[in-house]
Amino acid sequence: MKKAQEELMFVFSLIFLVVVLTLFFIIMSIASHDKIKNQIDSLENGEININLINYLRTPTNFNNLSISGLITYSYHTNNYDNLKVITQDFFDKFHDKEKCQTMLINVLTKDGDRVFQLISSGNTKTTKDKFALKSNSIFIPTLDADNKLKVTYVEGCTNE
Amino acid sequence: MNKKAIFMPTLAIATLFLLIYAFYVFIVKDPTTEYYGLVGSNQIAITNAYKDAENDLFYAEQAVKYSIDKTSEEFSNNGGVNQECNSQWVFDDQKCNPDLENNFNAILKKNLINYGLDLEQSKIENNIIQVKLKDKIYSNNLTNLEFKYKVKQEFKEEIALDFSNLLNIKNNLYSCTIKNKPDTCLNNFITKGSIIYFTIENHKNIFTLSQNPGFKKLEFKFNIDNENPRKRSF
Repeated sequence: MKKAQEELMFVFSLIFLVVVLTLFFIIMSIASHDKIKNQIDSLENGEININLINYLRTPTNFNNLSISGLITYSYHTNNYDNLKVITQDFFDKFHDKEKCQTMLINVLTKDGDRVFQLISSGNTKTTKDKFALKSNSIFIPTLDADNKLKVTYVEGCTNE
Repeated sequence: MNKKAIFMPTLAIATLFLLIYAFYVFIVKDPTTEYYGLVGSNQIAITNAYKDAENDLFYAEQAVKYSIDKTSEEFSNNGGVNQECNSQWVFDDQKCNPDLENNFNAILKKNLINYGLDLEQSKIENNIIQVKLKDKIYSNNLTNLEFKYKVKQEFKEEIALDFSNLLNIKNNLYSCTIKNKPDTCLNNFITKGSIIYFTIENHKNIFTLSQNPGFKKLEFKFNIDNENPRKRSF
């Protein structure tokens, strides 16, 4: 009888231990959810920064300029035709239009005036992908040292 | 109850107390303290420093490139000497001496300052200029992490001018004018009175804002007094 009581106590203790550990895991997961999410977002921003710099460093056939140089050239000549063609070409290389994916390049002056914008949108109706838009900005110099341009790159899915 | 039988209930109760205490410390005691975030915050601070450094380095790289092109243009327009010398080379004069590399670097330093960049060192070799800006330091002092990320800002760019050719011309003229007149040392010049004019064309395009924005090839023009190439006559 005493042996049976000990066995019962052992089993109840084991169940109690499992329940406590499970509850603790659930509570801690809920309590720390936002903090964990922040970490992931920030690391993704580092990734999009690399994509933006890769875009700006991409060489073009136009007078051996990189895309960054072409943006500056377009700004000074107020002609964005070449930039539009080359940016669209860049989008087409990396953009899977069957997926819910948006790529956007935006160029602002230091006063906040938008001088160029190009968007490439994917199929937002059929996909079940859901992920937030991620963006990053970088300043590039112009030939007149007093002015600089803010280039923003946005990547992600708008299908919420 | 024997020792073996009491072990499991004691372990369960001890675990319960330990977890309640952990929950109190990490979540209840001070909700603003990000115990979980600490690992993430440090990583984020480091990756942000790396990202800022990459962005600043990219800006500096582009600004250096534009500054070199601007410098090449200004240097060509001045004939490689001080603007006040009207492109005239005078070998024994302090202001109008064609000390080409130093004069180029002086203009470059000024142009870089306009972009908020500080030139530490520059060297021209085979028409390639090596530019070294002051190192940039990114630091952060977090609760349990202190870091300093030092970024070297060194760039190499091809100059739109044939600098090696200019140095050869200068050295030839310098040694020649010790005993002879400049017009006996070089070809391809135009003479107006006692002044002889040289024009050296270059083949690399630069993008410039002068007059109309667009690409142009630089022409390096300088002159020298055929009668008195070593002393200033103006």
